[in-house]
Formats: sequence, structure tokens, C-alpha cells
Amino acid sequence: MEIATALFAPFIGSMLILLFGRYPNIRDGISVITAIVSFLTILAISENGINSELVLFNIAPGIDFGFRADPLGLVFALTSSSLWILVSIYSIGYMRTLKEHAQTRFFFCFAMSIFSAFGIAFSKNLITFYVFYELLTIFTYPLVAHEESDEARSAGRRYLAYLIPSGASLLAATLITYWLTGTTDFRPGGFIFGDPEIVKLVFILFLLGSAKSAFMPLHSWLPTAMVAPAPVSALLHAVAVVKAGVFGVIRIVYYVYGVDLMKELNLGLLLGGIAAFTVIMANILAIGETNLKRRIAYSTMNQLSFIILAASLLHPYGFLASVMHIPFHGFMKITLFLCAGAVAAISGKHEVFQLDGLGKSLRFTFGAFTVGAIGMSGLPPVAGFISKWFVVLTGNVWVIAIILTASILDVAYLFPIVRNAFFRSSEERYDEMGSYLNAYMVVPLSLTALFSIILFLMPGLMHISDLASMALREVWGNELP
Amino acid sequence: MEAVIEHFPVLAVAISLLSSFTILVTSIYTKRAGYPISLAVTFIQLVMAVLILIGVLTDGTINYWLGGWRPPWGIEYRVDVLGAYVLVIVALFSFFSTVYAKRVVEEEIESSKHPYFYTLWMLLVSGMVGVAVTGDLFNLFVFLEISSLATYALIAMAGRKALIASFNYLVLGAVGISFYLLGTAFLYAATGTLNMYDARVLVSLLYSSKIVQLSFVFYFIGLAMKMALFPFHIWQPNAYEYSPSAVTVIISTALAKINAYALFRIIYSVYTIKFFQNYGIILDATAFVASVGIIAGSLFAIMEKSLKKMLAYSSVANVGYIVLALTLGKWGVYAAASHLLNHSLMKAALFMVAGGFIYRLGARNIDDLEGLGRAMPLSSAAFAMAAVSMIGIPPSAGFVTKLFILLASLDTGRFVFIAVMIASSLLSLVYFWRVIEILYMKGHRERMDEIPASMLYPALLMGILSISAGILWFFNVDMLQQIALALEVK
Repeated sequence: MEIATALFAPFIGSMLILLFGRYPNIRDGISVITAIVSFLTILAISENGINSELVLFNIAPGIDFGFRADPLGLVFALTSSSLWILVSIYSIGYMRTLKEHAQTRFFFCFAMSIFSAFGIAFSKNLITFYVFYELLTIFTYPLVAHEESDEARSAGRRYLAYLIPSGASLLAATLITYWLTGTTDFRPGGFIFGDPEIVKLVFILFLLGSAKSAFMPLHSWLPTAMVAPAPVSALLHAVAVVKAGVFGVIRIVYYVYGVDLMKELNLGLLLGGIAAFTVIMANILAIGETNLKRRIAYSTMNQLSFIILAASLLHPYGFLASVMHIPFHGFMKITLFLCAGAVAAISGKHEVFQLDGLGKSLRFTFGAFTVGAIGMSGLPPVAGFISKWFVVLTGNVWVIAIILTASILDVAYLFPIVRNAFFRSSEERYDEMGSYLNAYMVVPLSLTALFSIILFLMPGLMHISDLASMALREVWGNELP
Repeated sequence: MEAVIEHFPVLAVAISLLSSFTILVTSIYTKRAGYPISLAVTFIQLVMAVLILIGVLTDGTINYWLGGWRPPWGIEYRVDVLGAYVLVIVALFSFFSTVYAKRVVEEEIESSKHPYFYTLWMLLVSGMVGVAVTGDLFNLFVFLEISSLATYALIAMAGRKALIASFNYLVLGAVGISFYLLGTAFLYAATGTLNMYDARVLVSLLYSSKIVQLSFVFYFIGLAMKMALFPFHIWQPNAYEYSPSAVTVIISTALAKINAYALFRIIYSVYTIKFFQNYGIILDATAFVASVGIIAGSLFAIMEKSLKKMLAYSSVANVGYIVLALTLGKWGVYAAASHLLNHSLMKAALFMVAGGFIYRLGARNIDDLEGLGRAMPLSSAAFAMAAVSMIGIPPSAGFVTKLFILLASLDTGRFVFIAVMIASSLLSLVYFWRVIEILYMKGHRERMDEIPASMLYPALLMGILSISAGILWFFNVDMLQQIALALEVK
């Protein structure tokens, strides 16, 4: 029952948004209220409804259309829903400051995207997962192409050109899995079996189906999608869409294949190789990028592949790192994007070299940006440190070397922005808290920065560390060292 | 009640046949009686069809001997689950096309011709209803010909270019129906019967007879021409493009499905799946032709600039889905049966809105639709929902078909069709998304009036159904199972 409330609240909310499109205040109010309702329900589930199920109907023998709130899914759902509250407040400020067109379409699609993300989080099996995966693609398209300029249209086209074929690959992989095993229900420790060659092939199909996690060479949709309004880049392209991608990878590795089969077929190495390559390459590309949002997007690619890399180690600490990095990265990266959006909305500046001296007037914004930059580089006292530390604990020298290199590169492209903003002089002055619309933006981004630090001090916030360790025990069973 | 329902199949044919002549007679007194009579009759047919379907689902097949003559001497009407289901589809889309027709017909056809239009319209409906209920091969020919002849005339009513389109259709349709007749003649020569269920028993002894095999090939080619399966599709784009909008809606939904149903019926009720199992090459050839049609239809659609022609090519691809599905065992039957409805829902919404755009703006080309997403939000929403369903995005109706065909090809071990289905769904993304992009993401127009209510609401209903049917189907798998069971497919 609680799952139904959590899942369908955004769906009903989005219908109401469409209905009240003519009254902006009611419409935006509905957005915020829906976000709060679904967050509270998901929080309640994670307290006393773990592993509750909801089956809607049967698709074929052995395949239900159903949902299940397992610990891993709850981590993803908690991340998306908690950040949705802040971002929906932020969007009000951002969209109204810039007097954007088609705001009803924007808020409708936004809520539907979150609905799809919750569906992904709570999917009981691969088919349900696939259905919401495709829905997420469709409902984020209008947000990517929102500006309706030539650039936005071509970004939208590229978005679909990557993600829809990828979805087709996921469907093929899902159905072959069904054909091999007669079921598609996720099971901790995996359930797939069959001819090793076919199982390997299916894994590659699954990987192609995970283009949402933006690993190379299936990444180029993500930087171009940055043409979207800032709240979209923030919540969808830092949290919901791309996290759905890595969440899917973790699901497939640990809940479809399982640690033993992955080791036996040597698939961890394949996955890790792709991820390691992306971790380094994304950061190198970020250094050369001058558009602020696109630079942060490359950083997102880097962090997503960090999650995949940690998962590919098939080590308990690696698993913990990848699961905990989902919320941690969510909070830190959304801070960076919200800052970039606030800077653009308040001062109209998009490029990295235009930001000199802005830190003096936009104090909160750049303060929050600094917190995000520290977190990205994996330094204390921000949450990003914890997940990187877990990876160090796995003791894999190669991976530690890669992560260290990536962190140094992180510092190299994020800190110059902070330095220039605070220590160079500028004639321009902006009033950060000048109007209430600006406050709608600055308060949420300060809060996400604050939470990034709180999560470092108390990783148990919103049960995240508890859920992660429950998932760990599910996956490893009694063999946990 | 049961006793009454037994008479419904023949009543459904009779009332529409009689109504068409009634419309002609009333035209002496008034030119405006055509629409209300058609609307009332198609509505009654819809109610009857639903009652028949419920009756058949609970009590089993209805047999009706015309004039009390026992088959195989007399004509038998035989309505099993599949027939009742197709009857509902025909009645449903006839009714909503009639609702839709009022305004476009007033606009596109001069008022002195309205009685003739509705006379032909009801003839078309009677032909289609007849095909759905009959259990006799020659009677099926007669009804197909009634509906086809009515269609030729209906298309030509738009005048000018429609005359050529209609003539092309007439030639190909006549050739097609002749092939059908040849097939029937050969089968009659081999078995001495025209009753489908009689023929089924007799043919089962004669699978190796060259005459029987040839008769199947004739049936297949004949119906392929009628249903515009690639490469016999050449009449279709022009016929859909130039015919009156209302006619496009009814022929792209009900009539296209009735032709596909005829093939379905002949494959599974006369020749049966055993025939194909013995002659795998026929099955492979059919599946191959269908696959080529799916891909080719999609490619033609991508190249097309006119909206209605693009939709016509998409129909070519979708007819390919149905024929492909027919070769793929149990899940294939599920796919074919569900696609008869799914595709009608989607195409009805698409053609209704396309016709509405022509009605309001005279916009025939895709490029003329810039900015309509916000200028006419409801009409565009109906179009967009159906288009998303055509691409096969879950959980839409189009996805159900795609899923069933994929499951069918896994089940029968013919993996190549997975690639065909995925390729075609990506190609349909290309041509449908182009329209969605132009509607919603390009250009700006001031808010304008939606298409008239009698056109908009049927389109919206079809659009919403083409999304929600994707979920509703899974509550009705029972019916698909009964269809497969009645056709002895396991």
C-alpha cells in the first residue's frame, strides 16, 4: 500500500499539474506537496516496510508487473525523492526568474520523470524495470529539448538516438534472460544461468542497455543534454536519469548475475575496464571544457563510472562504496548544478572564464560550490570522502591509483573556478538575496551543500548506511568476511 | 437472452444492408437523413457485437444456418471468439468513424451527394460485418467484394486526384479478389465444399495435393493485395492520402483489419497450423515477405513528406507485423489478434487528427504542423499518444504487440525476428518523432480553436486507449488464450 502511495503520488501530482496549468501558484504548489508526500512515504517504507511487495498484474508465465521495496531500491528512491523537494522549490525560482515558456509542460514532465525513477527503484523484475526505463527516456525528452532552439532540438534528437536503441538492447537482454531462466525477478546473488557464451553475450546486451549511466563510448548524449534548464540538469542528469543507469548496472551485476557468476565469467574485469577508462577520460575532457554546466557534466560521467568501477570490484567494500555513492554523489553534484543554474539565472553567465570575482557578491552560491568541489575530489569533510575511502579499503592497488589520479584531475578543473570566483576582482555586483525568487534558488542549494557535509558526519541519515549494509548482507549472504 | 443472441450475427448484417437502401430512399425527401441513420445503425451494431462477444465467451461458438439449410449445402454463419472479437473491432471503429464523419463530410463533400456517401458507407460496414460473421469461403468473397466496391466509390468521392487513387485501388483490388476467387475455386475442386469447417476437415487429408497448396498461395497473394502487404502496397498511400478524411479513418482501421482477419481465418481455420508444419517453406516465405514489408514500409515512411502518406506507409509496416505474427505459433496468435485492435486504435487516432489538421488548416505536409502542440493542445496530445504507442514505448498498446512478437520469436527459436522488430521500432521512432518534434518543439503559433468536438473526442478517446490498452490487455489475456484454443494453436 505504501509503495502504491509513494509510486503513484508523482503520477497523480503530474495529472493535477496538467489540470491546473493555468494557475501557476497552485501548479507549483502541487509540485512541492507531491514531492514532500512521496519523500515521507518512502522514508516510512524504509523504516518499517522493507521488502514489501505490490503486484499489479501478470504479463506472461513467470513475469509479473510488480514492485518490491528492497534496500538497494530504497537508497535510490530516497535520494531522488529527498532531492526532488529541494529542486522543485528551486525550479520555481529558476523558471520564473528566467520567465521560461511552457512551464506547465516542464513541471508535468518533471513529475512524470520522477514517477519513472521511482518505478525503476521499486521494480521487482527486469520487465518492470524496462518499462519505467523507457518512460524515463520519453518524459525527459521534452525537458532536454525545452528551449526549442536548433541546438536544443538536436540535443533532444541525440538523446533519443542514444537512449532508445539502448532501451531496445535492454529489452532484448531481458527477454533472452526470460527465455533462459523462465523468470526475470531480481534475486540477491543472481539468478541467471545457461550456456556461458550466451550469458556473456546477454551481459554485453545489458551493458549496451545501460547507456543512461553514460560510460564511454555511449556518453555523448550527456554533455549535449546540458542545453536543458538547470533544474533538469541538476535533478535528472545528476540524479534520476544517470543514477537509474548505474542503479541498473548494480542491479544487473548483483541481482541478475551475482558475484560468483561474474567472477567465473570474468565479467567484472570487462566492466571495470570500461569504467576505469571513463573515469580518467571524462576528467581529461572536463579540463578542456569552458562551459560551466558541461564541465560539471563531465565530472558526472567521471563519478558515475566511479560507481560502476567500485561495483565491478565484486568486493563487499566496493559494493558499499557504489551503493553509498548514489546518494552522496546525488547531493554533491546537485549542489554544483544548482549553483551553475543560480549563477546563470542571476548574472547570466555560463562560461567558466566569466566567473572571476563573482564569489564576492554571490557568497552562498559559491560557498556551496566549494563544498561540492571538495566533495567531488573526495576530500573530507564532505560525503564523497567516505565512498572513496571504502574503495581504498578494498586494497586493489590499480583501482586506488586510478581513483587518486581522477581525484587530482577533479581538483585541477574544479578548484580554479573557486579560486577565480573568490580571489579575483570584478566590478560587477549582484544581489544574491535581492528578490524572493533568488531566495528560492539560493536556499535549496545551500541546503544540499549543508547535507553533503552532514552526510559525511552522519552517513546514517535517512537510514542510508543501514540500507546499504542490509543490501550487502542480502547479496553476500553468510559468506561475508 | 441466449436465443436472441444467436440471431444477432445475421441481424447485424441485415440492418446495415437495409439501412443503406433506406438512406437512398429517404434522400428523395431529405438529404440529411444519412448521418443519423448511419450513426444509429452502427451504434446498434456495436451493442450487438459486444453482446455477441460476451455470449460467445460464456456459451461458446454461435452457429447460424441461413434459411435453415444445413452446411455444407447452405451458408453457415459461424461466430467463434476470434470472429466475435473482430466483429467488435469492426463495429467499434465503424461507429467512431461515423461520429467523426459528420463534420468532415459536410466540409469535403457537396451536400447533394451526402445520401450517396452514407449509402456507400453503410454498404462498406455491412460488407465488413459480414466478413466477420461468415463461416463460408464464397460468402466471405461476396462480403469482401461488397466492402471493396463501396470503398472504391467512397474514395473517388473526393474527386480530382482521388479518382486516380481510386482507380489504382480498383485495379489492384480486383486482381486481388480474383486471386481469392481462384483460390476458392481450386479448393472447391479439391474438396467439393465451400464451408470453412467442412473444408478444414477435408483439406487435412489433402495437404500434399498440389491443388490445395496452390490454392493457399492464391489466397495469400489475393489477400496480401487487399491488405496492402509489401510489395502489393502501391495503391495504398494515394488511396489514404486523397480519399475523404472520414473514409481514410474507416478503411485504415476497420477495413484493413477485416482483410487481415480474412487471412488469419483462412490460415488458421481452413489450412490450420498443421499444414504449415508440413510445409515449412510456405511459413518461412510468408515470414520473410512480412519482414521485408515491415522494414520497407518503415523506410518509405521515413522518406515521406505528407502526413497521411507517411501514416499509410506505417500501415504497410504494421500489416507486416500481423502477417509475421501469424507465422509464429501461440504467442504469435496473441500478437496478431491483439494487434488487430491495437493498430486500429492508434491509426484511428492518428488519421482522425491528421484529417482534423487538414480540416482546420489545410495542412497536409508534416512541415506545416509547426507549433501546433501549443496551438491545439488536445488534438496534438491525441496524436502524440498514438504516435508513442506506434513506436512501442511501454506501457502502450504498441508495446504489447512488440512484446508478444518478441516472446513468440524466442518461443519458436526464430531469433532473427527479434532483430526485425527492434529495427522497425527504431525506424518508427525516426518517422514518428519527427512529427512530434515539429508539433511540440518547433515554431510558435497563437492558441487557436481545436478541431471540432465530434472529431476531437473520438480521436482523444482512441489516443488515450492506445496508451491504456497496453495495460488493459494483460487483464484480458484469457480472451487471447480462448482465441488460440479455438484455433487449436498450442
